[in-house]
Amino acid sequence: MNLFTLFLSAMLINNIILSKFLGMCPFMGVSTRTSNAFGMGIAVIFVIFGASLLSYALYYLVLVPLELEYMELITFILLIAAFVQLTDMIIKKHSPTLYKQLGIYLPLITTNCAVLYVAMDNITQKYNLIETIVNSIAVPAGFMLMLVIFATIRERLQGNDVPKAFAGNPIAFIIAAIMAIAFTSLSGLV
Amino acid sequence: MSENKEKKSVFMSKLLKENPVFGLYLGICSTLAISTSINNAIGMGVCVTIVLVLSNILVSCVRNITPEDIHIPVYIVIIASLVTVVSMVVHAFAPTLFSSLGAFLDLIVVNCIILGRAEAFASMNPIGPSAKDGLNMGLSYTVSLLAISLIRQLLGTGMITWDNPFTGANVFSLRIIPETFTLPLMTSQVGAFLTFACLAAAVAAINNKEAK
Amino acid sequence: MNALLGAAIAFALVGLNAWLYTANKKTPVPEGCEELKPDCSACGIRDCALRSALTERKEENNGDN
Repeated sequence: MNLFTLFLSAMLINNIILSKFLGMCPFMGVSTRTSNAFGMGIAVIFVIFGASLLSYALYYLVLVPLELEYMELITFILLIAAFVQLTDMIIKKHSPTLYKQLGIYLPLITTNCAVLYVAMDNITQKYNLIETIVNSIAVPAGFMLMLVIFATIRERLQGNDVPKAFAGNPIAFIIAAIMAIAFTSLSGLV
Repeated sequence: MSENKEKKSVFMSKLLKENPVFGLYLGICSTLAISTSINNAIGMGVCVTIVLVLSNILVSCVRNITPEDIHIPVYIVIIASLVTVVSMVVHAFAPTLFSSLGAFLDLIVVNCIILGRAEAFASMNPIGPSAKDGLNMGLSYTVSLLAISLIRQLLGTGMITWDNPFTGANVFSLRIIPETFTLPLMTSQVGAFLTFACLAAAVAAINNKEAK
Repeated sequence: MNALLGAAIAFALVGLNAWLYTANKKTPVPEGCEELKPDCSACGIRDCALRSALTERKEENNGDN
């Protein structure tokens, strides 16, 4: 499959937030300031990339030879949790600046739907290693793009006169709806 | 008489304030993606309820023997095993439901509701109350999901249909809005966000009015 | 036979998680970073480890005042 098409479709056209609705919890919580959004975005890219590669390796090197494909869900989620803990520990020890930027978001990413979805999607779609790498970078890049756009809009909205019932999360969903209209226009591209 | 009224208002406020979808904003991912039709909503709601009740019971059983350090991976293993079993059962007995739910059946394991209730309630309470709490949360999740799906399906296709999940055959289908007046936008992603936003605002407005 | 192997793999992963969790708890947060907290007010999970850490810190600050 054409790698450029794969990258474009994973990042923009079938965007994981606006098109597949995954990763919404941090999307709603961490998008009130743009600096937070950048930190969260980079953390998510790193975790999804690392976790997808590790789970790909685990599936094809361990589960398939032993005919244990049904253990996919359990092993993937445990692997993701372990990877996040490991990353947190390594960042704490080696780089305080990096910890300030993105270490605080790492525990939030463990139960993020997006990580498990990408790990399992690579298996379901039967990608080879290169396609897995491209997919695992494109999807969280799309997530980060949406998060930053969303945070910028929400920051601008903060001084404004939102109706009381819509304050907080409901108006955020209205913003997401408008963004979804904008990005649906790309859907015929590939 | 007033006692009944009080009980009813306590029940309604509990349903709205502690509603996992509109009050606590848990499990939004699957809610938005699944709620395109009533079949999906009921199917997903039933699966989540079953997993929630069973996982609450199992977590409550092991709550005293798991050391503090490994309680999260142990709960994750319990929930993941249950979800794998439920997914296999659905795949075997209700294949149309399985294909329309897609990856979201497997993603029940990271549904914040299940792990959240396991940690918040089942790890500290005995089996009976945990099971009841799981049932309450699951039913309230199903009702919220049904509310969203009803609106989206009604405005999006103008019909209310229900298929038998086990055979895929249509049980009833009722056309309420003529086809020329439907809004296909509502069955797409945009409709999901809009419906959710309006319902969440409605629930927030009701909660605010009660708080006054 | 394979099922036993599967159970063994699951146990190994749980053990790995437990070890990494305890090791992570023991590593100190770099100086200057103790006061940082992510903005997770929109999430509804009441009993998350982050939430309890945040409320503890809030109570400490209120206790000081």
